[in-house]
Amino acid sequence: MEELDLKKIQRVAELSKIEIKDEEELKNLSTKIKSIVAHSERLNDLDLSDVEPMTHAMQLQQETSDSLRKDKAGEPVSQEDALSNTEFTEEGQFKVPRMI
Amino acid sequence: MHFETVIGLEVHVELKTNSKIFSNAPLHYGHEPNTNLSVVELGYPGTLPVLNETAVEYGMKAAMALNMQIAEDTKFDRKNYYYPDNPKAYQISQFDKPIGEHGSLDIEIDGEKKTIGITRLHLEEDAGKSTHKEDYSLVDLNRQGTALVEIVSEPDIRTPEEAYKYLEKIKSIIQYTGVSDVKMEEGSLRCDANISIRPVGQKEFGTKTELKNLNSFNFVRKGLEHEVKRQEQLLLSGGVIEQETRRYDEKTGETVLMRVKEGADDYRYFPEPDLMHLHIDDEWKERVRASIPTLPDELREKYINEYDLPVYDAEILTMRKEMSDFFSDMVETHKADPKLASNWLMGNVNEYLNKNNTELDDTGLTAENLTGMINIIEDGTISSKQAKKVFSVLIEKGGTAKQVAKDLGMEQISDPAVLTDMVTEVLDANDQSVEDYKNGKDRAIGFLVGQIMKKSKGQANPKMVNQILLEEINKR
Repeated sequence: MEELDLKKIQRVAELSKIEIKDEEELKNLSTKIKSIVAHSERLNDLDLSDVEPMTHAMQLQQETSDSLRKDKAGEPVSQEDALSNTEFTEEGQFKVPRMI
Repeated sequence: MHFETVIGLEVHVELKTNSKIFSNAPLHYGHEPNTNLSVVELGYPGTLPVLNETAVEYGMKAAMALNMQIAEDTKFDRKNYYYPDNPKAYQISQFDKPIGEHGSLDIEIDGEKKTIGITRLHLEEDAGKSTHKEDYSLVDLNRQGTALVEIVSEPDIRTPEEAYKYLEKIKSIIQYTGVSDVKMEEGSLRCDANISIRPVGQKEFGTKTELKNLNSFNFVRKGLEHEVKRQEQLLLSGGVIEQETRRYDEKTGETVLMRVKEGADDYRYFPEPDLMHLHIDDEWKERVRASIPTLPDELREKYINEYDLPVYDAEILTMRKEMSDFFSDMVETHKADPKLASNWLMGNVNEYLNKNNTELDDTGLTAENLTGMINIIEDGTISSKQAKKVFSVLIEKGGTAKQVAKDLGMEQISDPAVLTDMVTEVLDANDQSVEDYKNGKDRAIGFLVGQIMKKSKGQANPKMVNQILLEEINKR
């Protein structure tokens, strides 16, 4: 059980691009995450059989069109500005490590 | 052992909105790299998405045209992945409450109708475009945030040919709704395929592979054909099919392993906190529904039943909305003969459009002038040979058929008085031929017709010449 949990945490860390230094850090994280999960599992004690699932903190609903954006194009950011936070550019594009 | 193929297709269609799905950045195909962006697409901290109303309506329109039920409550979710083509490190998509579900479309295989189920249609944002160089990649984010719908079929497709027909049908239906250009060559229509095989009679599906990089309808067919063979050979030689993503290589015609497939878990989907639920009421649905034009299936039936067109003609004419609009206009407004109109559109017109890679709207042709041209061929004003020349002027420059024929000096002489004079002159000058005819040598007629045509510089109406010639010669 312990083993599986550590593996799972390692996998989620990888997916999130979080580096875990060593076994000790992993175990430490595992303890903390377990306590968080245990805390939220208390919700399972409640009888919610007749409560609609809620997935957003605000129960507002966008009523037909009123709060949607009209499809009108604005002024875009310039290419210079778009690339201004990196020194790695070529031909007006972002230059990144080869992907495939 | 015999195998059965099971195919499901995922089709992505870019919506033709003026601005991005979650920001007001403009979008234009073929612009300079990184010039169609706002801070939202660039993933800057503190920026928030705001949903584009037209993108929602286009999504509804596409879903309705594919016979789907539109959700009353729909919402967006985050699909998390790290890749340089999307600076936010997540794609806003729809996971468990897509805007459309339970649709279908009909295809025809060897004259038999087959219904392919469509599981869902959801809204999402497109990612940027990367170009791979020797040891680095370049990223252009212009496409990032473009409104996209993903249309997922049921695993109802059994052959690569059916997959091809399904794609053709989706393309044509979406094209009719006007929500997308659906051009595979520009990436506004893209297709991935899930494919597995199983022994005939087995109920459970085999392990599927996902095929990517299918950049044309033909590559979809060829890629699937190759993958069926690869899986068969693998199973027959005792191998096991791995769930993986494979890329179709256009040069070799083979599929190549890209990566072992991620599960949905790996994307760590969760509800998008930056966007609220979307409630779609009946009134809104009906408003959108009313904006959908007559779709190709219905037109096809009409052409076959009301205009007596062959199935083949009806199919070709209803592939694109411009074409069927043009045809309907010719037949309904200008009273063209349906079969003659169809022959010109399917033949010379389509040939011209394909050769010049252009659209009907960009030519000089109108429903009126093409009908006019057909009419003056029918009444004998011009010959069908001459019509070809008139046609090329009309399609290049426009104008009316009558005027063009006149300008080209090719109007047929159909005035009986003028023709009778010519016939008389020729008969007078060819006593020997008249004599031959009287002696039963029918060939003489051919010679005389030739002489009359020569005299008229080829402009005499041949039908009338024959008729008048016989009348006149028999009087002698």
